Amino acid sequence: MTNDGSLDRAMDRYAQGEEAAFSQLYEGLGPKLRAFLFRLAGRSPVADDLLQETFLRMHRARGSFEPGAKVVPWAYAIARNAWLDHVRSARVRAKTFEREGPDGAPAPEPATGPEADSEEAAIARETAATVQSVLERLPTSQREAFVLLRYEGMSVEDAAEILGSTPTAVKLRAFRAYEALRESLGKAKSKEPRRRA
Amino acid sequence: MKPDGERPAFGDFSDIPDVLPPSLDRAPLPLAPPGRASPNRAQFGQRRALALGVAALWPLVPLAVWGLRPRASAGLGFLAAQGVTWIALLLVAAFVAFSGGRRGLGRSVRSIEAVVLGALFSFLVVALLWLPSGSAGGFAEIGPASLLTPCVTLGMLVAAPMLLVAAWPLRRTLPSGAGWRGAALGAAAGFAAVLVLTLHCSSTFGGHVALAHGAPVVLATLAGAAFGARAARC
Repeated sequence: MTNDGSLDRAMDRYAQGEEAAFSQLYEGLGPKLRAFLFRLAGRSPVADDLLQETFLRMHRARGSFEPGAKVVPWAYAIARNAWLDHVRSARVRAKTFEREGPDGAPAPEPATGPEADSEEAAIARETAATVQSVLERLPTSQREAFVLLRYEGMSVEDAAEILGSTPTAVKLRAFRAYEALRESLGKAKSKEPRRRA
Repeated sequence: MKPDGERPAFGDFSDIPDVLPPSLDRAPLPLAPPGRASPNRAQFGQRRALALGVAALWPLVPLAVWGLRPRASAGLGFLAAQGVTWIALLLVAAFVAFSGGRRGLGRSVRSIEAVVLGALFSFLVVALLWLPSGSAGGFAEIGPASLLTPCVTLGMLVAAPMLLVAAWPLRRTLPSGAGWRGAALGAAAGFAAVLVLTLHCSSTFGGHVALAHGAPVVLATLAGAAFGARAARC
């Protein structure tokens, strides 16, 4: 496992022009950024495309990476920008083609592995699908704030820097997202016993 | 789930399950380094130094063409004091625009907001209240309207090329707060325009200074914000 300190040093070398440092960066940051992008975008093909886009942007901007800076928040901020651009272009496409059919809400990711058929796994999948659908309905500002705080383990201050916002605004957005998720999960839970009966 | 009515301490969102599917546990597909060359840190530093050098020298060109105000030597103390004020505001705005901050993501948005809005407000106060001694015009008087357009034009002739040149190395390099950092850069270019106008224009009307000398600052700040949000974000 690559720790943040060695990633910072790898990025520093990459910023100085050492191309070989790219693979270490990709190995250390790729899984984190991919998970982050999946949580934002909700689909793994989109997350994979955005991951490539993120590394391309990091490559283009590497010269501006400051000595001694932290690569993780820097890379997260770039990944978030790539996602925002994707959301904006998707909105433009949706407006252009809105008469051509349903907007294609993403299907939940198919389960894989030996536990795919168990009841617990089915419930977990259903809950995850509920969370994902609520996240997708939230304003992007609330979604990204919540994802950074809940899933990426960021502090409010780090999230505010990544989002280019104030800590107070980030707290407010994340809490609104949390309230919406909590309400939806509560409703889903109250329906569950009736469905089983 | 927590029982209804129970509020968690802030940041305790652990009752919301993760959405990450098991299929994402696999490592992402290998990715080769992009083939297209990109500037490394040394090249980026050279570009930035070149751009800043050209931007810093540019105001001398319009000043040389349009010239100093008549009887500039008579009010030398006033000109020097105001010049130092504009240069200080310019440097503070440029510093927050270029500073990498603690984590390399730039200064906090709150501090950049404070600097940009504070600098614009300071300009307004100084322009309206700090007039040379023996001024014919009073507080908020605009004076001849025909003098407004030439000052705004000259101000924009100073600020626009400066902003363009200084912003060039920042394209696709600001991951966070790009709009506000661009606005700070625009404000810095605007204060360079104010400096040139102070040296060139002899109007003693506070309203003229606030309006005609302030317009380039506001316009350059807005242009910088637009540039930051659209072109500087990476």
